[in-house]
Amino acid sequence: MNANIRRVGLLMIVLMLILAAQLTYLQVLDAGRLANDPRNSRTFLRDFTGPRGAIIDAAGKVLAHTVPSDDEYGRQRKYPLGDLFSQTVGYQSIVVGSVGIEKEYNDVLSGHDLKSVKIDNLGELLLDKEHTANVILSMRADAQQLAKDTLRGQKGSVVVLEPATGAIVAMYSTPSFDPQPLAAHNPREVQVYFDLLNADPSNPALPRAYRERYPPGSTFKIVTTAAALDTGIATPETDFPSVKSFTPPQAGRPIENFGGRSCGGDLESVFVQSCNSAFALLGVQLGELFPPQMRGFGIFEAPSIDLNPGAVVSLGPPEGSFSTNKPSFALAGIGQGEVATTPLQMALVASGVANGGLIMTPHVAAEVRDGDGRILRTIKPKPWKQAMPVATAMTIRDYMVQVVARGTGTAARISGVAVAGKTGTAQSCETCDPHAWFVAFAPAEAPRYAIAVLVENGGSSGDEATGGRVAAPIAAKMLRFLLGL
Amino acid sequence: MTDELLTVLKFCFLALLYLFLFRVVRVVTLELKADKIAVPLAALPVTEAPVSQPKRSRGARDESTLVIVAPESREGETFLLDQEITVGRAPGCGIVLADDTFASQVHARIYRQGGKTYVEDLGSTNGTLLNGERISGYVRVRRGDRVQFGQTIAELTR
Amino acid sequence: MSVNRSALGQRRRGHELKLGALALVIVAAGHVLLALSESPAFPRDLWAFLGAILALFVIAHLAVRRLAPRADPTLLPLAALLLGIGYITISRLDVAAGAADRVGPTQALWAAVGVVAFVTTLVLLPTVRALARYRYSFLMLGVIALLLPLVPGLGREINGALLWVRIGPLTVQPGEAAKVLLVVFFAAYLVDKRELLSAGSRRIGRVYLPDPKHLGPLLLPWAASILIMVQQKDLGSSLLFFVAFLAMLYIATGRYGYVVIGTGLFATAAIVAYKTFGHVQSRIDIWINPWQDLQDTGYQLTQSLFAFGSGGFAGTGLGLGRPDVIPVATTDFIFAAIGEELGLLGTIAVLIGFMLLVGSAFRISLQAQRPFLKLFGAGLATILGMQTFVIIGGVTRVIPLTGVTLPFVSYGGSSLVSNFVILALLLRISDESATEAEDDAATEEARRAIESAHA
Repeated sequence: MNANIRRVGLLMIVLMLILAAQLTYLQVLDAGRLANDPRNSRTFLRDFTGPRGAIIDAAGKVLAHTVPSDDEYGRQRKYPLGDLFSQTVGYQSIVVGSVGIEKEYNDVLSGHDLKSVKIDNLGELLLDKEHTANVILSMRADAQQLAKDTLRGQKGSVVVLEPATGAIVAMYSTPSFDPQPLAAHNPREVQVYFDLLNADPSNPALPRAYRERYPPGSTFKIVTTAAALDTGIATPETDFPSVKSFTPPQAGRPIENFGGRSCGGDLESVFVQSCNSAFALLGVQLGELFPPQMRGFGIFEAPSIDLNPGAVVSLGPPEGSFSTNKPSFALAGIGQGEVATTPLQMALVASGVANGGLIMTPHVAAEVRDGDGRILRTIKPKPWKQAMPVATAMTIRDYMVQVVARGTGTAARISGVAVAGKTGTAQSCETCDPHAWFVAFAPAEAPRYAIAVLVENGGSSGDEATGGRVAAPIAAKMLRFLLGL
Repeated sequence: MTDELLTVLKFCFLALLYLFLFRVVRVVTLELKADKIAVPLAALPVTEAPVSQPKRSRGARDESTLVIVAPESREGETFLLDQEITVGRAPGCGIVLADDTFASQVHARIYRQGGKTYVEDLGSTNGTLLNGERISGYVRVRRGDRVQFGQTIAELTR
Repeated sequence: MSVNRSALGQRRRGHELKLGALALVIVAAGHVLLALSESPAFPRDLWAFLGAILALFVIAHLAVRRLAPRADPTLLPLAALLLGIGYITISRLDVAAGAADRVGPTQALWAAVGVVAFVTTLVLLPTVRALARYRYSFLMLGVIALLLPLVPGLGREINGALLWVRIGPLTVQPGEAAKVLLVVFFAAYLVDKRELLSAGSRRIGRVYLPDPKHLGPLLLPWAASILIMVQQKDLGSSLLFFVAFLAMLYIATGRYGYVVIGTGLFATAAIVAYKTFGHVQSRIDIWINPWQDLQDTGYQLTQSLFAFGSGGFAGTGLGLGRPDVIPVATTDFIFAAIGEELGLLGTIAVLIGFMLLVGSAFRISLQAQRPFLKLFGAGLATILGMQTFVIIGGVTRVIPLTGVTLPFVSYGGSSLVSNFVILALLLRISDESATEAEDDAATEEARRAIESAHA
């Protein structure tokens, strides 16, 4: 009998050991996933019931704040500007989780983990549990509003940043959405709204400005030009024959100039006219040298940005693929084919030219301050990429000034200020209308703002759309406003 | 109360918990050790043990009663156990199991010693069972226990 | 009294007292720690709390000292610690609960009632083997207790399970009593019939199959467990009953055949129940994929898993987590609440506590000489072990979740009282065996002395 009892006892021990194994799995191996699961209400409950700092724009306008509520949580997050900042400030939702600034800066906003602040500075601050901080953005509500107004409901994005610091001033895309219902406390209602949002075919929940890729079209010729100059493939004096099209090796299909015209001349001339034939040729001539140059501009590498989720990576033809796929390199020369970039990335390209070749790390927050207005942390400018030498940047800047002065970008002219810009009209598929692009910075000689404007599929202009006609005027309005003109 | 201090106290609390569990495990090992020591001692053949009177035998009445409970034909037959009684089919036994074909001639003996009753199997073919378990050598029988010889079952009543 | 002269009893009670004192220190420390997490001051009721737990333990300890002096020394301290940890967790959940939902004081009261039941059991039951005589009475009582919730007007359904009976202001779970009553019956019955049941008639491969006419004892618990599963929608108790009885049957007969047939029977019943009854099906579906309907059916289990994950290795600390978002955290999910605030370190400690408790119960069964005591002890040990496994396995998603209480830890009067009775029974068995062994040893010594003197 004893042997049998021992066996049953052993079985019990084995069962307990199984429990121990599962506990180890749940509490150690899988703990991170479970603890951070957006459906795990703990973090949010703590954040929802506790005090929370505000999110404020550069001019002191409140973008997100917490007010008392009558329900069990005692507090309710409010987004007074509705859809204007939903794609950057994000939202704090007990049901679907938090995104954007609300998530990225949750630690300081909730004040539960102000260690990050403590480490950064101000050891004198006695941080107790009730302490929260406000996040001050470099973004401006008025610029956002103007971006929204000038896009006039057309699907697209506007990104404005300061080339010298990487501080984002405006980043708006249409369509957007009101984040307020997501911050509600009734799980069912929130879920219904969230599902509706995701089911909407126009995808308003997608922050197109930094999380969607488009073919950049001719705006990418900035990168091609810089690459050609830096590698010595071309010089400003290189003469491009006047032709109607360029047929890359390995493919019978010619790449035509816009409108089927002949175009050629020196580098400045083909840049200002935006000759596809010349830049497709440069793309092929660059060959394997092209992808590393793109990498210098930040293609193939998602720019770090203080948003959660962050920016997506922009793409080009992969290294090592030239010998087998030469047409792709020709297309890359004119920002088509395998090249796909976010509007943010193109704004960064423009800012690189404006800033003497140096691209700064983009950021939307400027400072973290405590409730009394004392600065706890300053987001300092950080270099991201040295895209090109200063000389190359100066050359391209001059070309871009010419584009606006007498080329495809005349619609972006601002009286009294030299604007440097580049248009793009990018084919996204065989049958659809082209994307209209414009990247620019101003004033050209001492740039304060760099901008990228994208209007998807030509917006309301349809197949008539070009970057110069549709996107450049929007950029002009933004720059004029921001420069105080 | 700062979080850091509470964290330290939490670990102290958990440490105490494990200290307790460790102490329990130690007691258990001590118990097991004690068992192991006790068993071989009892099993040892004692040859030169000092003569001593068992304490408990003094007051106890040195007799006990065995009642047959099965088969039905003999149910209720009672035997007084004072010193020693043999059980078996042989006519000379104290309890004669003439009709029980499963019992051996001299099947077992039951005896009293030190106020306790013992049953010892005397090499029977089918064995002697105490409460359904086959015994080997002698085993103590307590009040309420059932002893089976062949197909005959008897209960110690007192 | 001669009891105090026993060296074994002295040693064991000494150990019990020392371990118990340590357990009390831990429980008091937990109480203080919980209060500190709210405000930087010692709890105002500290002395009252200390007095209460000290009184409860001392009463239980003195009862054992007097009534079962040679009993195992680890059971009572382990139970005290588990009860204390449970109480701390319950009162921690009370902090977050509304004033009307506080259950800590009730649990304290039930702990006192439990100690009274413990002492009463020891007083009323000088020997456990006497119980065997009333086996059929216990069977009848057990079956009545099982069926009681089904009586119209008397039974009450709580959380979807029909386990409760309303008596005046109290709702009690007669199933808790039934499990002890039926274990008594089964142990006695198996001791009677084990010879018969062990006789294998047919053999398939290496497994002896018992004679079909001896399957009766197997069918009874099977029927009982199906009744519980179907009528009372209580899968946990159903599994508990059946496994405990199967384990006892195996221990008594040593026949794997019973285990095989029993498992087959139970599996068949479970499959039929899965196909036929919605509540069984939904339990299994939730177990397979709790994330599917997180807001509704999967809510309880996923909240439990989140709690374990959020606790992580070292836990948030007492009073610093959010175990109040776990549904029914004081009863079914109390282990998840412990997991959140004390982490893996805490859950493993509690698990080791249970392993030691169940292990000691099996050791008691091993040390017993009488088959009835052995079987009875093993049955009680299996009930304790299986109940722990069923509920912890349920909340950690090792097996489908079924609502049984975590012995001594969960809130609930019926469960606490019945566990205290089980504790008393185990101590009684332990004491009885130790006393007999001691007597035997003494007698043996005397007999040998006489024999050697004759020689």
